[in-house]
Amino acid sequence: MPFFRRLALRRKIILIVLAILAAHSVLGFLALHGILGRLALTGGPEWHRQAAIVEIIYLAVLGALTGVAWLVTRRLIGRLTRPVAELTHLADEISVGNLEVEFRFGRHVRCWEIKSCQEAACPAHGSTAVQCWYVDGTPCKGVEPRFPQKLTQCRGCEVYQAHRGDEIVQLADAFQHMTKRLRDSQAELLRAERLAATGETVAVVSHSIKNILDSLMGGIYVYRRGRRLDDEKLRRTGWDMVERNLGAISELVRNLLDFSRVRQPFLEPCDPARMLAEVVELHRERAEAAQVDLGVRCSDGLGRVYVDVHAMFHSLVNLVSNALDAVPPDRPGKVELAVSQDGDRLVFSVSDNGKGMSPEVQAKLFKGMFSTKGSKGTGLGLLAVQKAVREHAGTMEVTSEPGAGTTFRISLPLVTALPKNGMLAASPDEGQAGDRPGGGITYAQVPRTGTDSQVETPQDSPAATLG
Amino acid sequence: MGTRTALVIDDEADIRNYISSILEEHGWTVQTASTAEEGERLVRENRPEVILLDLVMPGQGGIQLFARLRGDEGTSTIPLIMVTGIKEQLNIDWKEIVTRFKTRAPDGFIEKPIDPTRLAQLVENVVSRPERGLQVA
Repeated sequence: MPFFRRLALRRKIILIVLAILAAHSVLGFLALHGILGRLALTGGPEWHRQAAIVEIIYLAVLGALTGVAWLVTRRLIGRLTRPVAELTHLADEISVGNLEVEFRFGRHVRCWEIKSCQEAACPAHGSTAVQCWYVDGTPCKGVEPRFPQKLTQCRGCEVYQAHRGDEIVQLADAFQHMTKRLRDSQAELLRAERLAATGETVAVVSHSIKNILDSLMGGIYVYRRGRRLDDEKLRRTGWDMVERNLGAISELVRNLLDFSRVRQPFLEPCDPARMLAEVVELHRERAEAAQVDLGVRCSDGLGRVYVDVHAMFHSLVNLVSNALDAVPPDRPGKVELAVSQDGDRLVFSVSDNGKGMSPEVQAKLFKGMFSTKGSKGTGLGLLAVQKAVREHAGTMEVTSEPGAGTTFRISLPLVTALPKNGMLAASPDEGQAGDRPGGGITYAQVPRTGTDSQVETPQDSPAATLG
Repeated sequence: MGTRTALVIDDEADIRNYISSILEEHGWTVQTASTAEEGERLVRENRPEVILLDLVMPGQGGIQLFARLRGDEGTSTIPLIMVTGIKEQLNIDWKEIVTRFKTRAPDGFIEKPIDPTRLAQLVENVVSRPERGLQVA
């Protein structure tokens, strides 16, 4: 019999039985009271006492019976409503995003046990949680393999009936199927997002490679023309183009590898001042050509620290390279690298007095591959820096004002002694941050104060967390 | 031939050098600009015979400059070739752009990587027969 009809019938029967019991008890008590009253009239005080005792015993038995009836009723109703309560609870779980829920109520039967089925290819075979009617595309004795039709037809199946063929199980089946579909859709969405991100990366990188190849071809063309015309200036220009673009392709590959490789930072002893000096040295020629004053500022007393030297060196190289690109040629440029200790943090910063960025541009910085350099940039360098910082359990901030300049500030945990395994503990939010661009990165649009090389962040600056 | 002037507007110095070198090889006098603003100024000052304009540039991009040049009576008739690194950009809905800016489409397209012979040929075609409409190298 269907569940809800059965539930209604049982409740009616219980109520009628309770009503008859109550009426019978009252009538019985009145009859007993009358009989005992008459006997007491003829029997004297001794009879009075005995009649009262009998009445008390009668009332006690009646009370006990009523209590038992109440408990039995409550238990029966509970057994019938528990699945609904469980389903409600599971629905709440799903509404807060937990799709790993499973309805387990009633007699759990396994079709492969009842039918002695040995079809190992069947998804329901050997499963303790899945019956064949849960699984789309699993034909069972010619039953239509779509869930709704299948469920309808499976109601005649002996396994289904043994499982309990009432509405509550059907509801549970539909519920189970729904959550499975939701899980599948969520996984599919994640795959699609990853594919889209991969597609975007491939498109941007291909575009960048194409540009570099074009410039390489251009360099070769210009060099050959110079050779043909015996023009030393043209030869030099062509050769410089080749060298520059070989460097660009090598930088692109390095950023791509840094960005794509999942790794823990390998901590090595490092003198931060010396590392900064090396970064500056690497860019000195370019800075001089662009007439940019490239300088370093180091705090006193900063001794040996442990960082992933490879990752941090290349991160600073990327930031300085970006800073040099950001300085317009029509005014004296200034780029400064700095390192300092701020409590238990090691802080690197790269500041420029270049074009700066609007809040809209800043908001896009860490969301996928975005570059302010048009066809010259991929955005990959900054993503590689972001990844290295995250691997160090650090944070990165950017403050910028259009027309005034930009400062990138990297704050890492200060490590002065090597951890036992040479590696840092993962950032607490690494799991989440790894799934979303911009995780752990904050930015603020802050008016510049002081000198060009010193950026102060007011306490009330409108900082926000990206991602 | 030596008096023919072309203007190359591209934010990448190497691409400017490359295109300039190809055009100079074919007898053009080439001017270059690294930004849309500088390019617009040179167009108005020197009125080149042909403009090669990069589609993707930081700041004011190629499309905005294209629309401004086409929208101005003084510059709208100068043959203009778009240079692009992304093939898909060839499929930009020029009809929509032309309608929006009330102008005509570019005279030619060339996709990177640039083939020197094709570029030289395209420039000649566009300059000599601009009435042929959109030409792709």
